[in-house]
Amino acid sequence: MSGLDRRSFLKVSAALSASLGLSYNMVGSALAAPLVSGTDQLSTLQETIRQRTVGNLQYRTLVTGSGEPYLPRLDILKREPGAQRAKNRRSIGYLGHLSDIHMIDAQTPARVEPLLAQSVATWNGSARPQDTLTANVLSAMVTAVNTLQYSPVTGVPVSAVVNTGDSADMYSSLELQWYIDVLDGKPVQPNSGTPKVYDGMQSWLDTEVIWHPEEPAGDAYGDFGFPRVPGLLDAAVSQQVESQGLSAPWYTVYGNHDSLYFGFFPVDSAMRSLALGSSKAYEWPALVHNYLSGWAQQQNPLARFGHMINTNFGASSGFRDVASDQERLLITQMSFMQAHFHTEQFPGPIGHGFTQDNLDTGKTYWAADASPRIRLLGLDTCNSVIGADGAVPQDQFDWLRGELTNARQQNKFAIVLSHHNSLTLENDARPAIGPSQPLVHTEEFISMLNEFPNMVAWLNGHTHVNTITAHPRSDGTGGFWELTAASCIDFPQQQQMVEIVDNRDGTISLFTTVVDHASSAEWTEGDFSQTGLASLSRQLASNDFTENPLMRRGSVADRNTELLLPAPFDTATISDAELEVTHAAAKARVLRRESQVSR
Amino acid sequence: MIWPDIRRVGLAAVGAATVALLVGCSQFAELQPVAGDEITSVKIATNDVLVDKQVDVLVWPVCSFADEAYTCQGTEVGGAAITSSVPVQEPLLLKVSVDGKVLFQGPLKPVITEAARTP
Repeated sequence: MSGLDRRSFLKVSAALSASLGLSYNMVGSALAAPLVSGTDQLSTLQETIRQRTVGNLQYRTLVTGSGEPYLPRLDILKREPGAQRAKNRRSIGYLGHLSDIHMIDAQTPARVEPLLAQSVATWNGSARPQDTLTANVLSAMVTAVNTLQYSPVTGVPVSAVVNTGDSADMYSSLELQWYIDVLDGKPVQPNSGTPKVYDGMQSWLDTEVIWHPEEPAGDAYGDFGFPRVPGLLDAAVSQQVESQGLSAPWYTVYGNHDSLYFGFFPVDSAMRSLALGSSKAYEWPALVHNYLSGWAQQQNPLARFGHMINTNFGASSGFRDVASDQERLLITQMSFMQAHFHTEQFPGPIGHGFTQDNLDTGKTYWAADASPRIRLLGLDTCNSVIGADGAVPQDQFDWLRGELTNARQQNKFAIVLSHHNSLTLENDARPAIGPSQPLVHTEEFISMLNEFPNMVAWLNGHTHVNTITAHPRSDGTGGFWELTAASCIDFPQQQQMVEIVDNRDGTISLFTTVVDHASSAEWTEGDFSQTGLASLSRQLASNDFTENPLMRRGSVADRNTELLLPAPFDTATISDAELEVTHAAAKARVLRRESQVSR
Repeated sequence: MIWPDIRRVGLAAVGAATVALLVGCSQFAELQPVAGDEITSVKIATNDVLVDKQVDVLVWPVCSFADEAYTCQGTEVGGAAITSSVPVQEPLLLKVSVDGKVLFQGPLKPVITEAARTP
């Protein structure tokens, strides 16, 4: 520590050891150690994951490839950066960015797998070969984020992790609690219905639209070359998934899958009953009738026609008996927030961005400080009427403008979090009946963000594609970067780390590092260990022909990058000592998690 | 057996009728997949070509859609214009140029596939 005097150092060490329940000596000696960049930790800087060029029919396994160094991007700065910046820079803050976790209860009757047979283009995501393995992937992702808990650039510890939505896949309370538990470091059993036995579409061999690991011959995936993996489904649902838990406090926002059923539809009582029932659809016409006509009926009386046809044709015949489970409750907008209060104090925070005020008022957006100089602004861009894409409601837009003004006055860097990105903010669906507030779309939203030089990054997800987009101001004086993380469900199953660095030359850099989850690139046949299942999930995802998987890696310019910006204010007003106190608190939290693991 | 086939057709009719009824709703326009995959593919493939050809980029291409074609525009460090275009047809055919000189012309999808695979 160079910025803190001895008295301050001792005071900080004592406060942190007391607040986190750690020994004073442990904290003191750790904080006294110099920062060392984590470039020796395995990351995509050293090694990436690629598909092989040959395989079985069209199916390809994965293998490691060369790493990708940081690519400087000058789209906003529009000039060569200072050559000395690497020597002089210091970290303002280091964050993890998760998005589109899509935790899945693969056996709930509420899933909509048969829709794939109606239209792959429209309903992709209703079933994936790796549906049973999402807890394994998220746990491996937590391990990977912890592996990079010290910045590869500056060595500072991670001070917060943000999650930009779609945490639960099918609006399920089980999925919601499983994801919270994995991030908190609690074990989960990703099963519902009959204990330790998989009972769902992937084991029903007479349905052709889905991969059957016991015997893929005869389904579309078998024709593609997907392997036979006997025992996989029971292994996936019978094993408890352990998790390290994150080191840093984590924050969350709504995604469309946390806000609408299948990320598309409002929920009615028929859907809630189906989720708790003992009948599961295996044919899409029956599914469409029973799931969607209830929604349509609210909107259009003509849909009552559907019920009449059902009576005459017996549409309920497209269902099969499964074990019911009263834990398979569908959530509500309020219960999504409430679930984030059923969490651990460490890593915390209780509510994960939401506060008692959110519960009292029903507001679904929030502000929190990831560190004294980084303000997080979490939005809810989901459309509550219908549709996967979103928009910014006028009340949030106005609130955000006020929060950005406050952050600017306090010389804080602002980071906006939302689920939807700049390609997907055009949903203009309004309630058919009753008042609704105006919806703000991409152009107006970006224009407003660009009024604030301290608004340096907009973190989001939704499209499951690594994407980095520059949003320069029209007058050439700066702008901000939009960082869209991929997902934990579709290939490449990558997330990212983000660091704000002060170059002390009138510029700042945002470093982005893509994170592969901590499992082998190559899956070994028969490996049903926790990380083995995560590895298999990534391999399956890379071959999911319904999802255009290889595109989702993005390009080199969307992965490991240094994104330059003019400094939004005189960063010399931020003392080294202030930053060291911030990093010390983050380091103590890392120590706390590590001490818990070692016990 | 004829009866199950008739019933299957009937079930399909129910589904189709239900979806069709939704057409009358004001929200039907939003009943569509997540936006952006195609334009993102164009941008990624363009970037992959630029990386492969070792172009020194100042401003990475920004893509838009108009007149049945995707077009992307960026700037090379020396100030030369980077352009790419993809008419909407099957297969998607990509053309990438720097300062008017064509760097690549061919199907888009193999560009992305090759970038994701081992050399």
